[in-house]
Amino acid sequence: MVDKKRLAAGAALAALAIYTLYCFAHLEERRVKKRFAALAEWARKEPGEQPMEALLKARGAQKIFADPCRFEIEAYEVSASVSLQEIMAYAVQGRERFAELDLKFYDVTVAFPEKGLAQVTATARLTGKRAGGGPINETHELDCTLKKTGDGWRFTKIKAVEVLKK
Amino acid sequence: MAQFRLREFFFPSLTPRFLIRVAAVALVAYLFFGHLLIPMFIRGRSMEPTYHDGGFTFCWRGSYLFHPPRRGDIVAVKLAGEKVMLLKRVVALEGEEVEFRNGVLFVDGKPLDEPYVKNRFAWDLPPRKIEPGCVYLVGDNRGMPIEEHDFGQTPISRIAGKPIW
Repeated sequence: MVDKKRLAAGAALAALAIYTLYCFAHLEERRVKKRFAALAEWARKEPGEQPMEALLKARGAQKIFADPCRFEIEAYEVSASVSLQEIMAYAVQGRERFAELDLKFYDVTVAFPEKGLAQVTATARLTGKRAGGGPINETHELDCTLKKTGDGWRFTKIKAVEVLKK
Repeated sequence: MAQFRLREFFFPSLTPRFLIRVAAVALVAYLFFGHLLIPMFIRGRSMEPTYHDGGFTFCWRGSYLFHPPRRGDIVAVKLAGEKVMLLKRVVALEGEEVEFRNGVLFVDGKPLDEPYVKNRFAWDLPPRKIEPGCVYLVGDNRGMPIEEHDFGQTPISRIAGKPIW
């Protein structure tokens, strides 16, 4: 007869093995999701941010975006491929327009259509305050493409999906 | 006896039967509140005065199982998923023509009676026909410039359901 303690230990080991396999299978997915967390952190602005901090944050774009990265945001009539240098410059200028910024991602779904390429859909919610004091409360569905480079995943395309078409 | 029952209620014995019952209740609650009656915290002012920033409601997923959305319905629109949704009112249906003239909404050339709108900016939008399989959605709060308000047509397939109050 099988000892109950051994049976329990066996079940625990099996559960651990299944969990480990699951983690390995979703390793790349977790890495891609971490890029979104990095993008949210990069965009975040605390009240009273110093110009030097803004400059350092802007430089962080190198770890997030590919060179160039394509942006398609129909609501703002933006459709262009932007170099890393330009992203950094826009980021510094753009941050001055806001007193406070917070970017959060929800419903992040990752698919890998081919090796080294990730297709991600997510909902982005941007909240905060403009430099003039007005509130910001925007929600967009994003369709993003990321490419795997030597040192991690980089955004190659960010497209805002037009959910409500005026 | 009453004291024993009270103690059993608050500190039940962890018998297999009790654990199975707890698991069943948790599973039913997850399925019901995760997929059928979704809790919604309202953020933003686009549906004021009908819904206020900070309000709470539930979205009933079964609302459109047997009929399509109707004019005047308030609906929740899915984005990439259902964790964040847009709350808007259906003002026109497929095949109809919508237009804003000086803040007044016209459907097929006739002004629409909208008692739920309390503030109106002088919105102007040229006429446009709603594509098949779509509805036209606008928020109740029109007290802002047209550029600052998210509205427009969306496929019916994006509608997740209807708030229950």
